[in-house]
Amino acid sequence: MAEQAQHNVADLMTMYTATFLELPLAGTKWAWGVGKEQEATEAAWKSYDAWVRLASASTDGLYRNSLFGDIVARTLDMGLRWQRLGNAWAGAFFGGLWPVVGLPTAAAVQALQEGVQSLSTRLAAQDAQLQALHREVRPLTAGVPSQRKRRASRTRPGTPLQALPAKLNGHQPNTFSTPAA
Amino acid sequence: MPSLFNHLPQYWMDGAIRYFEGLRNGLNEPFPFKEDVPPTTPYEVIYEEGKVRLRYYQATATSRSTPLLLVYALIKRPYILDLLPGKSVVQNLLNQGIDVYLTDWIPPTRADSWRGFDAYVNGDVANAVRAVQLHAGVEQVSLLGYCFGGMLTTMYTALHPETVENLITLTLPLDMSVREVPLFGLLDKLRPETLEQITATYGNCPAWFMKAAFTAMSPVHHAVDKYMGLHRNQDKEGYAEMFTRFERWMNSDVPLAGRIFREVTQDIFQQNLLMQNRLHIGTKVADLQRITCPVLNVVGEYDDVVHPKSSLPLVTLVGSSDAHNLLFPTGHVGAVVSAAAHKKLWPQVGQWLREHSTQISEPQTSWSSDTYAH
Repeated sequence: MAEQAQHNVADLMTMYTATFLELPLAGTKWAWGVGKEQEATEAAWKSYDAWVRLASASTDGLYRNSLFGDIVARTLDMGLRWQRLGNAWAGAFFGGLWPVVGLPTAAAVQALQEGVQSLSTRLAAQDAQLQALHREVRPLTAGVPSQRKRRASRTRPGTPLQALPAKLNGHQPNTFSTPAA
Repeated sequence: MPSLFNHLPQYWMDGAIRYFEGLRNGLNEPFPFKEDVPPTTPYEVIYEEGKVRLRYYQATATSRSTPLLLVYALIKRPYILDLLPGKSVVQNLLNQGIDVYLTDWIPPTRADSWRGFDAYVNGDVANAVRAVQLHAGVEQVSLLGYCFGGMLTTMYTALHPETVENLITLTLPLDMSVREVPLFGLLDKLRPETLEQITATYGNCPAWFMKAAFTAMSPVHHAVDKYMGLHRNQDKEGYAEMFTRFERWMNSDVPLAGRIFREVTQDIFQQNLLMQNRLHIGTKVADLQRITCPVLNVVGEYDDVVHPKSSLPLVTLVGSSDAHNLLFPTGHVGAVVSAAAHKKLWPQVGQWLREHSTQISEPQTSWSSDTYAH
């Protein structure tokens, strides 16, 4: 603790001398054309660095203060209680209102989101397996002539089948590569 | 000096945008992965179950080591370990011939608030280890845990020592009676009822709470000093890009599952149970004496998040006769992104891994995810 106090005093002195002696002197010399801008800049940074160390030491001292800790803990506790009260109040008054106007509740939307996420993950995995199977089957069937007549497409003519999107709801495909430079 | 006053408002504004974008991501359920920065190193997702998605990075040099499972913290996104070319832990290890697997934790939704150490350690980490065993065709794996991830790997190794060949912990928070980090003193003031209030209100510990805690660790740095640093180093090659990516990571906070948040705060921070071999996970006690494999404990000498005094006792508490501390002059995040760490620290870690590896195997070509316990 005593060592920290010594550091603080040293930083305070550094900040004081750099701000009120070195910086004005270097600034004046620079203005009169007998000094360089660099001297003034160095004095300013010296003062700033000492200020940062002092400010950090002050916040550390605050965190070590038992009273401050008690106040933070109590404020947090009380804030959370008020928030829960607000949530409970809003739930009680408006909870029954959403279904009436045809809007889903937050819980219903969240459950739906999780369902979609789970489905898209499974879909991506199935898609990867399917692609791998395609790659295996293609060379085997390359030389085999078709035995059956091609069936008429069940889709309407002129309507191309839509490929499943590779990305769903923010999910990424299974293999990742570095972006092109 | 005049350019400082031109730049500073712009830096602050950009910082505020990143902050609020990060906050928005943390509020979303499910968490939007598309907000991650693009990966530096190509990878393949080989397994996903529970709240873990396992990435596989194939070694660029010939594999000369037991595969390494890198267990990232449950806090923030894992791309800090693969931030930029030349500043990527993953790439560094791959270049040394080590196959790397990385846990990409899926941020919990409100429905996951029941997840505690048991679910993460005996469930997700255990399944990830099993996935590596099957994928790489090995009986044991090497584990490397970073920060909170180090805590998870230490617990896992204590509970399942037979599956771990080597354990590396990086900036491990172990002895929580150490109060050198001033903010940790505030955690003592959090009463069990307050923790209950947090999880009752949000389900989990919300991302903004984690963000506030990290910002409060060094408020002057986050409010002013980092922007001054950017101004002073703007002419250094690559600094601005590094700053932007690093800031995106700093704002990539994710929620922490409700139960594990309570367990970490009460059992680890307040009661220090892991250190005293009294932490119950599932039906067992995580006894550090059961860790008999070689252990390398990497400690950041200037770490201001996990104080070195908190990490150093590990080697004296484990049952292994081959346990060493590697004290490196760096900070908490500098250990994974600084040029010095990539030049000196990670080659040492790689060498240690190679020296302690006994199993080298070709990765299996066919592999099914159905083998895992749900």
